[in-house]
Amino acid sequence: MSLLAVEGLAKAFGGVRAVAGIGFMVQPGEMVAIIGPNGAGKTTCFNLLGGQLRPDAGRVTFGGRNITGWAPPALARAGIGRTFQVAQVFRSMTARENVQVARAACRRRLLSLLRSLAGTDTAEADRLLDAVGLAAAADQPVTALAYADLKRLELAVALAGEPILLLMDEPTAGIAASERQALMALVRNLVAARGLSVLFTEHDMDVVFGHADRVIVMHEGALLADGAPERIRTDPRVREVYLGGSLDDVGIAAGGQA
Amino acid sequence: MSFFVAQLLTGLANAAALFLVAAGLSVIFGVTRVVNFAHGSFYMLGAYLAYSLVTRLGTGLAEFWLAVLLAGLAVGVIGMVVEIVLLRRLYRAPELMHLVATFAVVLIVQDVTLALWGPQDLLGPRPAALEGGIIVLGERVPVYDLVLIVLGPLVLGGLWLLLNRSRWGILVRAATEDREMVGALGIDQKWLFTSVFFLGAFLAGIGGAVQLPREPANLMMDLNIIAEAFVVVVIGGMGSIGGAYLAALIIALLHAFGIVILPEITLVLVFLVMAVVLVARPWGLLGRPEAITSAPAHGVGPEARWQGRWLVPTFAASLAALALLPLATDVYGLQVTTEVLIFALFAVSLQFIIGVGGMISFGHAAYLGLGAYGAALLVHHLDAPMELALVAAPIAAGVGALVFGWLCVRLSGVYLAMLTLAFAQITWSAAFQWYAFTGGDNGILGIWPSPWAADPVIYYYVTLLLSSAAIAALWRARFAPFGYALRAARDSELRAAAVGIDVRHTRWLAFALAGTAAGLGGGLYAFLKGSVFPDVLAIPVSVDGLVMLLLGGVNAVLGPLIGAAAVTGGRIALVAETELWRAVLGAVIVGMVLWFPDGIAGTVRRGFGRGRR
Repeated sequence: MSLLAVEGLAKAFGGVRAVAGIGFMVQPGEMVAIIGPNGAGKTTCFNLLGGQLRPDAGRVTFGGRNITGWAPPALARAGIGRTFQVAQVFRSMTARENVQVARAACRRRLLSLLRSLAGTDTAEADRLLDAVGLAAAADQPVTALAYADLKRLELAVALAGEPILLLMDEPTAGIAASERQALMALVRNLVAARGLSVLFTEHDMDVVFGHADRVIVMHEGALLADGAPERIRTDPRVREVYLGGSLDDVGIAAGGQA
Repeated sequence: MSFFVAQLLTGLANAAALFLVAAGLSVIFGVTRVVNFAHGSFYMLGAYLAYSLVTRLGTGLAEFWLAVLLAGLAVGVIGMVVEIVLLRRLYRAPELMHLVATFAVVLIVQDVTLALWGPQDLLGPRPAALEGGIIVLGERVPVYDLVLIVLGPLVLGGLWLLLNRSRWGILVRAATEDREMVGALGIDQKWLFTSVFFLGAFLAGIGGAVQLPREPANLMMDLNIIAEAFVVVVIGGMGSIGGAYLAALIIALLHAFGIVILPEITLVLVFLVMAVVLVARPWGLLGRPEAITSAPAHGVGPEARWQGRWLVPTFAASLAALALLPLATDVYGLQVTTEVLIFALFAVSLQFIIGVGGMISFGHAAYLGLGAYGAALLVHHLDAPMELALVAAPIAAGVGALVFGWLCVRLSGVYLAMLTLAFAQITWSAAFQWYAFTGGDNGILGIWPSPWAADPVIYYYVTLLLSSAAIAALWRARFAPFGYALRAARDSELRAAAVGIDVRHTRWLAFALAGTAAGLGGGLYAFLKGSVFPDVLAIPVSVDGLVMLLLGGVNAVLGPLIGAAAVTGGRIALVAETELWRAVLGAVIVGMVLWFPDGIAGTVRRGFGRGRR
């Protein structure tokens, strides 16, 4: 059975149908990329899955449960982790505290008034920070971290919730090209080690074709293609959408950046 | 039927002034993003200036309208001065600063008005031509009311034309939509903002001036109207002139009909209407969702971590010193310190909401007051002993905070601030109006501690014990997972929700917790003073709390203690020294906001160059 099943998902803003009845699946342990030109509806689709928006129509099933329209905290408890296009971290805290809060949330300890957060789950938080390569920065206030490190920290925060599925909206946006592959390799390893599934959107075609097991192409809010990277790379419709059917200057075929 | 018509017309007439003030507030906010607390002061100045002008110019019809117009223009100019001198330098500052700075203007205007026009109410003469009434459906309706009824839609139409048909209006609307873009197009924003302030203040001034024949100019006009104007703006939708008119009608009609049924009912009705509107449409009747700002309430930076380590030793040392204080001071000194301790608890609880939670509360006095009244009413009506009353005080305030907080946590930013203020004003009005139960402005007297605690030294120790225990508990909660969850929601609502934090619940609970703690302070306050008056619930007390936080540093753990000592001590000294203590306090706040926005603690910290990061 697939882990995530999306059927007929739709969302309109005013008269604009940002997502127009899309459907796809994610299997356990799979890393799936959603790509598409700007305005294809990727982020809207992501926000529908992550609970930031409520769909107008459609159905989302996760692990056999209907989770359509659930709010983010409920999704988190159900096992869906999330990272954002612009890294969202708790700016007034240290790296370790960021992970500790997420652990406390996962373990339903948020109403605890008497114990001190500093002493809870310290070893676990440090393990997670170590896993994303931030062990040395544990005591740093996050305002002192470089942006690429914030992306890593956000990953650790998302992992602290023990997700089964990780939704990553442009995981490499805003970081240097040289660091993108390293970050995605890290995600890849974590997926393997923890048996996670990952659904991510991405603009960098090197990242997409280097790391996705499967690629979903969106165009004008709908599903255009869904298949293995090699098939997508050669799909004429995808070339048409990205290249307007003429130019050969960007990405898909050459495997460069779109 | 005729009675119905009479109340309807009265309500419609009342709506006019309220609409003028709310529209001005809304226009100013739309463009500058400043919630102008001093808008009620502009309204009050309009009434006083109209009084002086009418008494000089005479009561002919033309003279009267000339006086109204001149009063409006004069207030408009005053508004421009406030903008140029004060607000222009604060546009980039957090919302909290706007509110506190404009409240300083309220304080200054109050003392200036008192100095110029004296303390007595001034009823302006009604123009002879507008005297008398006409019979509508068997009821005599004052002609002047009918004039006001027409004035509302006239101003609404005029504003619509101005905003939609003039180049200036198009710029204003463009700036309301997207300020940066207007700036990028090369429009002089300074001039635009100043002119918007002129218009807003002008409207408020006219509102005050036309109210003069119906209501004497008095020194309570400013805060009374501003609380209602906030309610109108929250219900109508910030930045929407039509919404302001609609909401002003609703509120004025509720008052007109409520007052004849049961005055206390009016408050409940206003509360219920607000509750319904905010649950269904948090952005107001005619407002738009995206207009709600969700920027952090104040600069969010790294928490000062050394405080965590030094907190316990510092706190223990202060407690030891305070425990020895009775050896070193007289009864008066002890009573002042007792009051400081109570306000320290008040400030720490406010910081829990504002600093840790990122929710600007402008009505924290409500919970101090609910505690004080909860205790006092129990003693007064049921002869309860002090011990029981001190248990009841935090419960009463906690329940109040649960009810109000349930609505408040649905909003953020300035909407939240306005709503908290409106709730505080509702509790104040209840205490003020409900003579049979609360004694109204006569207060409740004879609230003395139990015999064993009657000695000021003993009562000082009782207060020291209870407030330091409550402060320690709030600090504990702040550094517990709960406090971190609250901070997480403040730092990034998106992230917090995505890790499984129920942001609304967390904030609601924090609100209730802080309200409960403030309520304990209120109970202690009642027994310290031996009496309770509506003043304890009034806006100035809420603002005192904010000033304490600003002085001490919004996020500094020990800040509220420093702030409480400085403000409470300073106020007691100031009131003893000068008649113009409000103006002095206002000037101090203005100076602080302009030159020391980080507060004492922040400035000291910067001074020592915390280069460790």
